[in-house]
Amino acid sequence: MKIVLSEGKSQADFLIKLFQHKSHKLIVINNNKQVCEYLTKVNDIPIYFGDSTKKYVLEEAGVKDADIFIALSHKDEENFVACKIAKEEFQVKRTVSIVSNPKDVDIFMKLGIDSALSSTYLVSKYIEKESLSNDLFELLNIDNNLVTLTKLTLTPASKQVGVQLKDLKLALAINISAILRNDNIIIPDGNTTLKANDILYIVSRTSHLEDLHGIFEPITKK
Amino acid sequence: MKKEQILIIGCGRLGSYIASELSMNGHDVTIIDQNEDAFRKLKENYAGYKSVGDANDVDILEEVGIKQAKMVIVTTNNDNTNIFIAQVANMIYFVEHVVVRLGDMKKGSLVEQTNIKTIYPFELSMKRFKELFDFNEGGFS
Repeated sequence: MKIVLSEGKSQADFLIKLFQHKSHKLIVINNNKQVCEYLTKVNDIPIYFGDSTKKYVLEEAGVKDADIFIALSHKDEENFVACKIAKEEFQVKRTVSIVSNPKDVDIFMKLGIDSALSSTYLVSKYIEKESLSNDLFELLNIDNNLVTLTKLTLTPASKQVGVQLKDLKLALAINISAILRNDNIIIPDGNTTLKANDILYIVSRTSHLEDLHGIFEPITKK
Repeated sequence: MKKEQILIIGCGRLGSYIASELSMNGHDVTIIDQNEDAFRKLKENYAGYKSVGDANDVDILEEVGIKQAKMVIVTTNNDNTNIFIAQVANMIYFVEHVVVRLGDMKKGSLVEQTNIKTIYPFELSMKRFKELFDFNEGGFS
């Protein structure tokens, strides 16, 4: 994959280390000379010095036809313009932007940025979901929040203890994918019987999360 | 001309001038700038609203009435901010007339496919220069 990282310091550094050794072609652009020097020094890769919101900078850096463009500036309007130029002028397949203002998540999506991420926004969603139940812990949202991986620990008081999976009558969009029991991973089938202290890893449609909370709600000790 | 609600973003020389003119013509004008000192550029008879705030924030745009605005004129000194706000006014709030001032003409391509109207000071200066000295004549007159 051809990946472009625009701006950011520690975020860029983290992503460079993540992508560097996996046969990806990395293009890193930064408009701060010191940050460029720092990133070059610690990662031993060339960093393109320039303003990502300028067409000629993206052209010279070789952004054309990249698979993904990741904008990491703390200024939302800079990320917006950089992503727009990447997408419209250089046919980048997917644009991802960090946003500082959580309200910009929805705005960016409406204005044609493929994904917009805000740490504050994610924290608020996390708290929203966390407040539904203490026993459920969402680990991961995949594919623009369509799929969620949830972790759940069964207590001895759980009414699901002693029940076979096929009798749980879960919706098709909810799947118990793995069970961690005494440090062993079990890939369950319909005949697997649930035991106390089982840790369930559940893959579900994010839209079915409330159903999931509903099914397991009576098991909370409260 | 009918009395219209007009929102001006950025109280620089251009923004403050347009605000003062439109206000004198009886329009309902609001001007917003991050810096309160910027409002000193407005003419004394400016009768519109002044609001201090960051127009990159949609909540602030709503507070100053972007939903009711018939026209939004974006003239901050930052092209990226201008493009972002112009797009928000056009695509999120469906403001009928959006005008944006851009220093970098190359960034104009980002708003060309929309009905946002652009002002390029560079282009205007070039035009004037060509009026003063016609290149085609060969040599200066």
